[in-house]
Amino acid sequence: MSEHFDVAVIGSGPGGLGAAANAAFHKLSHVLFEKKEIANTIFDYQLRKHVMAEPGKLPLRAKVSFEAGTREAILDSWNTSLKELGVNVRKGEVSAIKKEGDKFVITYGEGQVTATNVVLAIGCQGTPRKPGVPGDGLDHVGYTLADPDAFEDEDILVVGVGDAAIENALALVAKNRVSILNREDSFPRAKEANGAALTRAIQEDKIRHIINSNLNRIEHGITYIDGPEGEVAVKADRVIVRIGAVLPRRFVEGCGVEFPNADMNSVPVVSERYESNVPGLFIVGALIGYPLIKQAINQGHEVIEHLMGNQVVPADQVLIEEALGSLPGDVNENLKMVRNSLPLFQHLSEPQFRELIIDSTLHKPKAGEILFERNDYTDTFWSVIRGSAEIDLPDGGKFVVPAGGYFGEMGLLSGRRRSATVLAGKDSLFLETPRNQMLKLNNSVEALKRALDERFMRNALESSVFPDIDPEFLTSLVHRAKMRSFKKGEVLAREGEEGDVLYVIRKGSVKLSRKNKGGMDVAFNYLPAGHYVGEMALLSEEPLPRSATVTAAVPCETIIIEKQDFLELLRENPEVRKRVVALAEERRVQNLTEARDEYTGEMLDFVVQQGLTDAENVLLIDSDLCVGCDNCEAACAATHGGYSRLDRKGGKNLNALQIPVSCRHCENPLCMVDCPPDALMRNPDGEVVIQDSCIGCGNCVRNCPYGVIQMVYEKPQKGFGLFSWLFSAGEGGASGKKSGVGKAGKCDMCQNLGSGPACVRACPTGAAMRVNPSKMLQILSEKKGAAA
Amino acid sequence: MSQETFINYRQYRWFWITLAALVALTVVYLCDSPLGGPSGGTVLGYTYGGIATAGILYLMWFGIRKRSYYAKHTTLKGCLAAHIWVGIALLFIVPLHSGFSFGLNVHTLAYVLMVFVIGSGIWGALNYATLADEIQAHRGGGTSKALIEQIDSISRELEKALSGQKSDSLTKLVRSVDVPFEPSFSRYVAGKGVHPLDSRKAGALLSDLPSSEREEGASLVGLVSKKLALMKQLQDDVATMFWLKVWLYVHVPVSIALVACVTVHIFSVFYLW
Repeated sequence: MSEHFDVAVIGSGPGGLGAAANAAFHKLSHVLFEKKEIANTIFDYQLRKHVMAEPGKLPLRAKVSFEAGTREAILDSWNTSLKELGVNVRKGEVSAIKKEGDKFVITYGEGQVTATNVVLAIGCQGTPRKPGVPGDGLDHVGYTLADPDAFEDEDILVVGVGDAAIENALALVAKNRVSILNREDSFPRAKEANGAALTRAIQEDKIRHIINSNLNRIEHGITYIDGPEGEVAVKADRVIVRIGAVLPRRFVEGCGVEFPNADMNSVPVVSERYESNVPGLFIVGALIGYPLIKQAINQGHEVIEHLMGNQVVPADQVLIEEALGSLPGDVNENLKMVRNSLPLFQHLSEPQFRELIIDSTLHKPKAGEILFERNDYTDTFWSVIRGSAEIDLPDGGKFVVPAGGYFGEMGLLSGRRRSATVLAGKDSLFLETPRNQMLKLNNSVEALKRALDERFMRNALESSVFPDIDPEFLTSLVHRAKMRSFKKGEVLAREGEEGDVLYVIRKGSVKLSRKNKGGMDVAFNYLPAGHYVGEMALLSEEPLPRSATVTAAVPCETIIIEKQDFLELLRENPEVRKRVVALAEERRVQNLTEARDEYTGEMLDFVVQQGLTDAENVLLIDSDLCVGCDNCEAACAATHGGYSRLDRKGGKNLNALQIPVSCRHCENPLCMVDCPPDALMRNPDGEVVIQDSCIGCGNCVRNCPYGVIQMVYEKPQKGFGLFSWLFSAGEGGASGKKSGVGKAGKCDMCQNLGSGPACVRACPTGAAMRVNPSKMLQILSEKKGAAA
Repeated sequence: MSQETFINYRQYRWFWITLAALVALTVVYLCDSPLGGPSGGTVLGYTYGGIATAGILYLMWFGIRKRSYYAKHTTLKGCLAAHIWVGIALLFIVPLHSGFSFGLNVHTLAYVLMVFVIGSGIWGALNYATLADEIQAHRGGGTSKALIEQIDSISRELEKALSGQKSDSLTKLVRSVDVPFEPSFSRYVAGKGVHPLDSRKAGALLSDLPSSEREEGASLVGLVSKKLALMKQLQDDVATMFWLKVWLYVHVPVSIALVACVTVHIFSVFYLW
């Protein structure tokens, strides 16, 4: 007979600690399983890292304390709380949880226990993948690297060439002899910047690159490798294995928990008590989409309160009250009223809906008040709770969104400016939801995703692509159309191949290129979202070849219409046919005249490679005028806490036009994806800015493809030096000792100065400018004229 | 070029303003016939002295403006344009102030220092206007650090190739055409530096090699040629950067000396008066 507990808590992260501490407090029989260290994710943080306690307004209600502080202080306080409360911690990796009758059988390292309830708090980091070779459990083999400075003068073998492996290898190089083991001979999975840094380190003999090889076995001091020429022994005092992680989804599904869809970002649906579809199995924390520490602790705590039969007012009640405070009457009634009036959100779980309300803002505008204007950069999603909204289309048309409807989804999904102006109707009540919250729901609620996708396809096809289409036909077309995403550089259609589908670009932009006489691919145009491409090869029943190669310039999302559907569309809609054929002819003429201009090709290629098709505003330095005084960097540093957010010397140069490393305020900012506190936002003028709620997790730094975001620290005040004041350009770049709390920092277009970017204003010669990409193309063309 | 620079700022706004002011001051000067002839001691002389002093203080203020990164109403480019044209105008205003009387005294010393400061400023502005486009040309679109890295990597490649050699004739060949990468002031600034590979000499040396080694010799010479070309680029780059910066080391200290000297000049005038 195995041991039985009232509650088994799996995982000792914040959610698990909140649950276990409360279970111990209520003297429930309980067990807390942890395979490694208490709060392992935080344990693996870099030493002395400052951990934030966001969101500030959310109260903490738990038997463990938590406030912002260093990694060490937080781990200490949690370990002390566990001891004081007498939490029953068991070390071991849980491999299976099975419901048998009314109890769960939990299998872990040393055996089995049973429990009436299970709290799953395993986060979403996953378990580092092990190589599965003899010796992979030895002391000197590590799967994380908390403090690269802890090792000195050692021979270290890093296994893997993903971003984590490369970053570790580069961090270790300063004080050690590092080799990196690669199954292939290149690094296709690494970010461009990491790949380039590693290549450089290898060329400079700082890192030894062992290619086309696999681990065979690990022994103390020596690791054996299977290479192209047989087994090789490599001296290694330490082995760091970074070959990815086994994500927890499969394990969670193995417990019987259902996910709404196959999307990697989707999370399991839970009830307001955090109970999954398996009765008695509760899930809290990052696994259900709550990545912040305080949220997870509270959720764990609440689960136990529910089990004790205590009525719990959710911790976020105070936030709900704040969000709905402007409505008269009982807040819970109002919450119900809002929920009932918005059918789009009917499939949300209770916690999901509460979070939606907390993140959103209620508006009670006067009739006729403008909610947003055409060409605004705002990207929020609006729902009509009561009353109506009037949409003024650019062509003078109007239509009304009634109560229960929504608008603003175009900007939400495509990341472009608002396509119409919207005014409030009489006695209206609106809910404005931030983009990230909607994207999160879009990933986890299948019904909502389908509704938004279909609406979006409809709008995209109707408003910008085929305005004359018959509405009924459109409905049937939308049902048949598919969505497909393309990575940057992926080819949508290749010149010469038979064309079978039409692409409507819903997000991102594509580059069009053709082969010149020498067989070189020369770019001749690029098309942003809202256009379609590929129609030329579809205009006849006969198979026709593609006239150009279409490549994703940035990550793209497209709507795909099959050739037969497209031909039917043209047959049924003569007006559409006329337009499509006219555009196809126009493009054919363009192809003939423009495709051979190699300079334009080079220019477009440069613009596409630099991701400038996605830029809203880019910093340029005219090398013909730049004298290298670095006053731009000095001005940036002086107005931004001592850290310059631009690297003048970095970046690429074409025809004496330098694109320094500095934020381009992308149309589809990848930095915004995956920001736990939603600190990154686009303000109404189009600038992408980081708000003070940044928790310093570094996700945006890693996600930005252009390397323009860096971690910034409070800088010690430097003494005043007359000589340096007179002769050097102020404070210079991002040097200085790192101290205090790190936060993400990037160009904010000096929006607080109210007079434009300091870098441009501080350029003595007029070399620095901030322009939009079309102005940049114009300057590039002028430069070509000057050079010719 | 359509772009606005520190010289043509707002269609030469500051050039026209200062030119107009100069013309006006000259006309007034010519119309004035004070007792004892024009000098710094007449009413007009004092007025022009006051204007010149204000001009000098305005020019000195540029040092502060350059570092005022929160400045809202002006751009540094515009201020630099004003700084340049007002400075040039002062060269003419001061002689009008003194009635073109010069001598071996502290007053004339102040003028000489001013000429030095403004002269070095003009030199600097000319350097800014003419040398900037050379930086990128020398760096080939990269940075000077990247140039150094490339040179270094070719040097290592050469050494690696030579260290494996059995015969020393290839080593001799490389040594006789290669220039070691040793940056120094005389080499990089004074222009006593590297020159592109002398292909005639290299050809002659190659032809002396036994035919079995000629192909490898040619590839080594190719590397040397590439390295020398990069070193030449770097040398030109360093020299350009030197000229873009060195004038400030005259301009700034002498301007401070000028302010001191003008102070003595004003003090002595009023004290002796």
